[in-house]
Amino acid sequence: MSDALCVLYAEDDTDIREVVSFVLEDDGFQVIECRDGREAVLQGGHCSPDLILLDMMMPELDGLMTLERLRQYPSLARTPVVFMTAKVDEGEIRRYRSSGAVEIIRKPFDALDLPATLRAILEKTRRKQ
Amino acid sequence: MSVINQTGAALPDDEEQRLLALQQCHILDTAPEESFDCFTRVAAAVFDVPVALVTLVDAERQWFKSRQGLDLLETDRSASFCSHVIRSHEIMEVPDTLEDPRFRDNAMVTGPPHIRFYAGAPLVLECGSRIGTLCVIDRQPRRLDAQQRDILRDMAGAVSRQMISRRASLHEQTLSTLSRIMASSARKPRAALREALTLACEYLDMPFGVLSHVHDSQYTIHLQVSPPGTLQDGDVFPSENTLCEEVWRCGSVAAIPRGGDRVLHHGGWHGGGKVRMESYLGVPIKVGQYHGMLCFFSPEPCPPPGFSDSALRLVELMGQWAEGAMERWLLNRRVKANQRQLTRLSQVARQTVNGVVITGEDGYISWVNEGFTRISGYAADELIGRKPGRMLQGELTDRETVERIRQAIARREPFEEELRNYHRNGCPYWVHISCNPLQDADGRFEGFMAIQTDVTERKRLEEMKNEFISVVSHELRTPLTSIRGGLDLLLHRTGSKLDERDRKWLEMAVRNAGQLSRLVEDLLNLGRIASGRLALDIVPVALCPLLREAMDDHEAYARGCGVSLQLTPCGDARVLADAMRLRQVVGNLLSNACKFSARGSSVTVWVDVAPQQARIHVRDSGPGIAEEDRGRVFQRFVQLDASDTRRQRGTGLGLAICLELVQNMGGSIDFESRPGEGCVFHFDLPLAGEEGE
Repeated sequence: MSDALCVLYAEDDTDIREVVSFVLEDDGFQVIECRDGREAVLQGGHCSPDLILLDMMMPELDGLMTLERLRQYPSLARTPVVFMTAKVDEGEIRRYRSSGAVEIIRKPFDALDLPATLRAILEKTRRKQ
Repeated sequence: MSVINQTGAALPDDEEQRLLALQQCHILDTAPEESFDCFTRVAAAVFDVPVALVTLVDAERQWFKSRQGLDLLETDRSASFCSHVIRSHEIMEVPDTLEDPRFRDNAMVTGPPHIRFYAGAPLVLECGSRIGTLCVIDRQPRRLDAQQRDILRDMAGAVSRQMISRRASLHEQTLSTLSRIMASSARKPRAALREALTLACEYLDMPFGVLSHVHDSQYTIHLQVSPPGTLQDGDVFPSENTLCEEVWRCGSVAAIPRGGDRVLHHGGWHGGGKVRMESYLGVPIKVGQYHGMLCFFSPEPCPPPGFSDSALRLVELMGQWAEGAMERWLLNRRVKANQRQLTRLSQVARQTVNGVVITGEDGYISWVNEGFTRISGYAADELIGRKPGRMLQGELTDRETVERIRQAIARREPFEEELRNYHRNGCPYWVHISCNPLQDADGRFEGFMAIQTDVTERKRLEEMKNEFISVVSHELRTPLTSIRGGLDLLLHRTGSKLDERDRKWLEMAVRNAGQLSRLVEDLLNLGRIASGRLALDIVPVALCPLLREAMDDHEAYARGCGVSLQLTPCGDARVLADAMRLRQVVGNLLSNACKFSARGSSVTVWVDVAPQQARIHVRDSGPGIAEEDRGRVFQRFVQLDASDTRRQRGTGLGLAICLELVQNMGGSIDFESRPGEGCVFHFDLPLAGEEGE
């Protein structure tokens, strides 16, 4: 279990969260599930995930604000981050991209492909380091 | 150089110049004049001779301006005594012609008038040319004494001076007519021209004077003087009935002194047979686009010896003067027409609901209309003398647009932009600006004129629409994500355990969830492109690898359709495009091609590279597109095969998106097809230059 990849995952839509968590766990990921940004910030203090997966639009703390706070934990300062969004505003997507996100996944996405996508991203960032 | 003529009288050294001087006297073939006849009468009496003559030695003849005791008008130069006289300034005396070998056999000696004695003194003009003689002739031999010789010489001098003063008075008359024309007191150009025609007609002794305009084979009388009941201003004739062709060919003054083949050839009639043009003087008039003629004519032939140089010169000068007068008149007319147009235009500019603003060369406002003050809320005197940008732009004004405008202005180029400005009261409003540089008559840059249309309402609707698309899409995509995720999971995990029928239901749900996702995606794409918010990242893209990837993406789909994909090797062409969007275009074309192709056939992709662009082709072997459907192919929500239920249906937006994307990338898209023979869709993209990434 210790070599399982760990994902810190925040999503306010319960259905999507359940599907994504299930798919990832089914594929052998360890998922730290959060119902919104605030919960992610709380959880972030106790874990050191391999990847942070955040929805962009969440109540109170949106994806970007959540990331900003998570980055303050030394253990999360360099963790690769992936955003998911149903938004289409190109300006906003550019803003998220420039925050250092390695990938932005647009909804709706193919849930079954998600584990492979995330593994590929991790592989790529590892190689870069 | 002396040339010996038939009788041995050599031509004078200055013969050519002498003949010219004689011509300019305009005296050959003119009627007898008392001022010359009195000299010959006195000479005949003083010398007590039967014959006294004033002779003029022309090129081939001698002609008698005045004669006493002789009926001949002229004689051949070769038989002339006088041609010997004009070789020197001295008197030539032949006491007895029968004793003189030069004249012994002369026809005028051997036959009538039986000359035995001849004495002639040359007529010398002020230029030194000897143009003729005053001579006395007797039928018996005799000799002049010294006193008689002096008298003859003095009288010849007096005749010469008469010649000179006669010529001067001709010039004087011409000059005085011209000066009266030029000094015409009529202020209006038309009246001045008419007065000039009248004076010239009088001088030339020709009853018709016409200033005409020739255009499209029509000869229109612009202005004329003529005997009552003949011509009128505004009369029109076919130009072939007139002499304008000849005049223009001649380029300067054309003179026809008397009817002859040329005039008769033209019918000899001017104006539908009303007026006969027997003698004619005409000169072309050209003022800008105005082509016409000034001409004078008469139904009578010009009396001998034809038109004088002065007459020709007068017509020439008057032509020049008329050109000047016409030019001023046309200019005046144009100025008036311009003024009328300007008045109208300025009314339009003042009253239009659009804002109109004019800036000077320095960019400061020099004029605004009411529309502009209404849109902006500023009064004209608050705006004039200030820069429009400073006053009207504000926080939400797009900086990029402002920069584009600034550059266009700096380059003095026209531009069209939409910009958010601020009303005097602080409320933002949107204007569409169409701005053009102004030039003065000499083409010098004078400033700009901008026409502003208030498009606030349209922009508000656009923003609402965009927001609507954005919200709706978000609200649609979120549940779609979990629907698809849930269905996929179900199918993946339990699909094999379900019976055939349940599995079909599930697959149907999965397929339609996918279809719904694509529709939402296509709608969003179109909405983004249409609102100009699709940010394209245009960079040099290696075409072949991109096509390869797009085909790999569609490999599975093609297999599902029973179609194979083939890429013809396409070299290393690089195009300017947004890689992601280009892949989308190719993908759309590929999925269309697969969808419509017959099972077992193949879809072929190839590239043609031209000097400036690359053309990407996608060929299918489907049913093809009928020519009458051509106009609908790239429209939204059009599916030409709406009846085809065999395969997964598209959204009807694919080609509309391709069109928008290709155009946004600076290319064009089209297709060739014949029903039953499949189609080839192709699009062009500009090639990337050598200076790569």
